[in-house]
Amino acid sequence: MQSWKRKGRRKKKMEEVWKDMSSSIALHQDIPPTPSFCSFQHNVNSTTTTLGGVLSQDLLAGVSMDPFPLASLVADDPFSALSGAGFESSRKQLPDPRVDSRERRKKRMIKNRESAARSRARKQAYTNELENEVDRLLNENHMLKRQYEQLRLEMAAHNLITPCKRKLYRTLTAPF
Amino acid sequence: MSRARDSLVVGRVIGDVLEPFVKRVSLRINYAGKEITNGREFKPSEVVNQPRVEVGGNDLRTFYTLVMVDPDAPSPSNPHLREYLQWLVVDIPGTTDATFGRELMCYEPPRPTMGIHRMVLVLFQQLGRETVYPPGWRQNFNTKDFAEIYNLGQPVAAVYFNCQRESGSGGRRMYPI
Repeated sequence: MQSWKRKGRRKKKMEEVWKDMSSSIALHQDIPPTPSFCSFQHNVNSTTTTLGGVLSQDLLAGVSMDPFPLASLVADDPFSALSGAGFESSRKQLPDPRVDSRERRKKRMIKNRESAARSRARKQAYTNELENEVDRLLNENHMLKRQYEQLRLEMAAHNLITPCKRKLYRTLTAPF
Repeated sequence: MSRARDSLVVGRVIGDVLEPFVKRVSLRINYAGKEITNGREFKPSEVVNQPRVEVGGNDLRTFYTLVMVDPDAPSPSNPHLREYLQWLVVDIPGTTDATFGRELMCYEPPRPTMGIHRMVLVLFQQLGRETVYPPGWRQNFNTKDFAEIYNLGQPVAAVYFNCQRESGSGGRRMYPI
């Protein structure tokens, strides 16, 4: 967050880069291919700025250092993915490729576990909510039906009495 | 009532965004007639325009604040922009809807690029009508802190829905690992 304060100095260079980004994102729905992202990250360095006062989430997502999309490439071609990513600096501590892949696999497993937990939570929350809705609607239905029946009874009782009152009767009052 | 809170707990909205609270006011929100129930899925195309937000309560003189955030920005597995402020409306009179309030942060249609995001809408009851300053930026908003700063207390209602990118395949990647 502190890095945002530096944006004043980088503003001129940033605006050009951001214009390119926003035009490319406007054209493409998905995340741009990773190699162009990585070169972008060197310039941006996790800073954010506003473009015309509006900074949408997908632009920010593009800027941020998210290793997630790269993880999918790991099994296919670990070394080229690493070298293209610019993650080399963090990897210098573990030069052994076997240890590397083990670490990566562990991280992958953890992420997958979290993702699975989120998926289960999502599913559970949805079914929970559906059950609540069903209960609520059944209750409402029950209540409304009872109200309807009551009203019908009242109406029927009323109908038997009132018409007689409303009708005009002609009675014979003449003496003949 | 307690089961509605369970959806918020199970979906980790209570935990990631809010503390446990008691629902006191009705909050009905729909996008073009499609009502938001916790955990329901909406596509970005369905949420491109701001929803209709009907606030309960029983008094026109009580004012409410509506906050809409995305706690899973930019990706649920790496939410370093949590929470991303999508919408902020204050001074909504009770029994009316959000159009009667004052928009401090205009509605930004959700456009998640990675993963399945939760979009949380929280309603607070205001003590009065004091000056509220919108944040300078949308990312890294904190609903709890915001409520504390402006003495909004505990939420009186909350609901959330799920949203993923238009061509999303339910959180699964296209290519096998």
